[in-house]
Amino acid sequence: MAILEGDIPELIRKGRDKEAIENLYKHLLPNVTKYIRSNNGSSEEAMDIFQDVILAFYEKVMNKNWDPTHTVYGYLYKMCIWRWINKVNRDKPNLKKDISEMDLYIEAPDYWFSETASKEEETILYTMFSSIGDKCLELLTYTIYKDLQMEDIQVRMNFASNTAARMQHQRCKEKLMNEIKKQPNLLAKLKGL
Amino acid sequence: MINEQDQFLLIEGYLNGTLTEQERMAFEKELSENPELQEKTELSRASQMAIQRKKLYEIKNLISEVHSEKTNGKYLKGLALLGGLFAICGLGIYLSIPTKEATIKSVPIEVASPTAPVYIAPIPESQQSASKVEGTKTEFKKSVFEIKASDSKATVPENFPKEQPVIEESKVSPTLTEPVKKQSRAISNSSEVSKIPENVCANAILQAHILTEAGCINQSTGRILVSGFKGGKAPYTAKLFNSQKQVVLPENLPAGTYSLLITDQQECQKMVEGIQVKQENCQKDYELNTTNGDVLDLGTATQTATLSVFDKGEFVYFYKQFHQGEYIQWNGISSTGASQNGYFVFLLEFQDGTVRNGSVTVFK
Repeated sequence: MAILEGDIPELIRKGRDKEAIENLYKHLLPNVTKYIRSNNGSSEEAMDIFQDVILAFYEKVMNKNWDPTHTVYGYLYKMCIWRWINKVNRDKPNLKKDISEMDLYIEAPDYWFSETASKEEETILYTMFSSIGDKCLELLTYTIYKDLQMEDIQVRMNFASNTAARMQHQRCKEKLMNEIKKQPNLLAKLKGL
Repeated sequence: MINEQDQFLLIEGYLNGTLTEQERMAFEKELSENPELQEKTELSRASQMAIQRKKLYEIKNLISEVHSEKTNGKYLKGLALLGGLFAICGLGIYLSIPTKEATIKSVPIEVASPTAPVYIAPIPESQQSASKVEGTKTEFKKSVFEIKASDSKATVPENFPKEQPVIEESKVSPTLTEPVKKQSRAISNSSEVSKIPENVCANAILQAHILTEAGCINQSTGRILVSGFKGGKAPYTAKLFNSQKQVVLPENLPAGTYSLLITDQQECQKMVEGIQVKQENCQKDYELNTTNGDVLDLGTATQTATLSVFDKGEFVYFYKQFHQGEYIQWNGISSTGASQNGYFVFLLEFQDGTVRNGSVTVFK
């Protein structure tokens, strides 16, 4: 069954990430690449922009900030264009631009996956999460979707009751907090976000 | 005095924005006066951010994975097409060049004037020599019409028979360049093998991003993702070799050491060696529909292994030892023959100490 663009936020909440990403890759990236290449950019830069915007989109869905009145493809395409325009203005100020918009407001956060820092942080995160156990990891991953109720988590993880799910959530969160305390640099960075 | 559990719920409600206005104001008042509560709230918020960051890293890697899948497909098709074109052109060149020298030269034959036709007899068989092209694995024999430099005008009768060269191809092994230090992300080309004038490849700094994904223990599920080719001249091709120097596809890889050969359009090359694909305990979720006869299939035991399945009360629900060569499977039934729906955790321990675990949801 074909995936409609309106289904994509729900796919993300259900954890069907590969389907969501493949759909966005197929429908969005070619148009973004075409625009960026015709505006002094390269395919690699288009891919970077696409990745940034998809990550920002994920954050919106996680934090219940996604406005369903937007169309997914149109909104993300617009974000890609705006991000490209701002990047051109910032990095290539002497380049003659046909685009007249200046300093467009970007809802998406700046690219924070820096090449040098991200690998180290990713390794720390993966090590930290692997020490709290599979069940805790699964439960805590469900909790990042703020519109997912504890009752939904109870059913997904087959807890005997809502109370049992909440207690397990508390224990797992405390485990994670203890692990984070052992990583002061990471804690400082996360507090700053 | 608020108990620990209630405090936890308040902090969670505050961070998730689910408190009522009254509750939020009371909490913020308490927060401003209680440093311990401030610290707990900050730590709870940081842990939420950590979970989100981890998820976003997973999505970032998934985007790279999807991109690699799509571009590798295009590269393989392009490689196949390019290979076919080269084969056809190569065959055409070998057939058309009449020389016995190690270096293939094209010998121009000028058409004689109609008033002074000159015909050169073929070289007697005893004087024919085999031509050999160095640097490749092919060799061929052909009869040649030797045209002396003084015979600037020569014609060959149209109907004069020409022998076709016999090209014997043997297996071509890749030529390995000097080993270079592997860098974690971008790779710069410090030594190249070039088939064209050296100054062209000297200026070509081939770069690529190489990501490795560990495979699961006891499975060939490793991957090497290559993207972001830069430097030199596009298009690029990439070949992956295992430790036996065999060409392999970049997915479904067993743990081991691999090499990658990057070639650009000008045939400037860069060999990257020492690419490690590791193995790890993959946390994998399975679903078994016992009505359909589904089984949990964990591959063939490469050594003695024990499979333990625990229910949500952390009691052993199923236990079995598997010997080398046996299929490691579980059909969802407990050791006592019971069949229950539910969420289980499995632990597969190998004789050498490696462990693999995951979860199984059984339903019928």
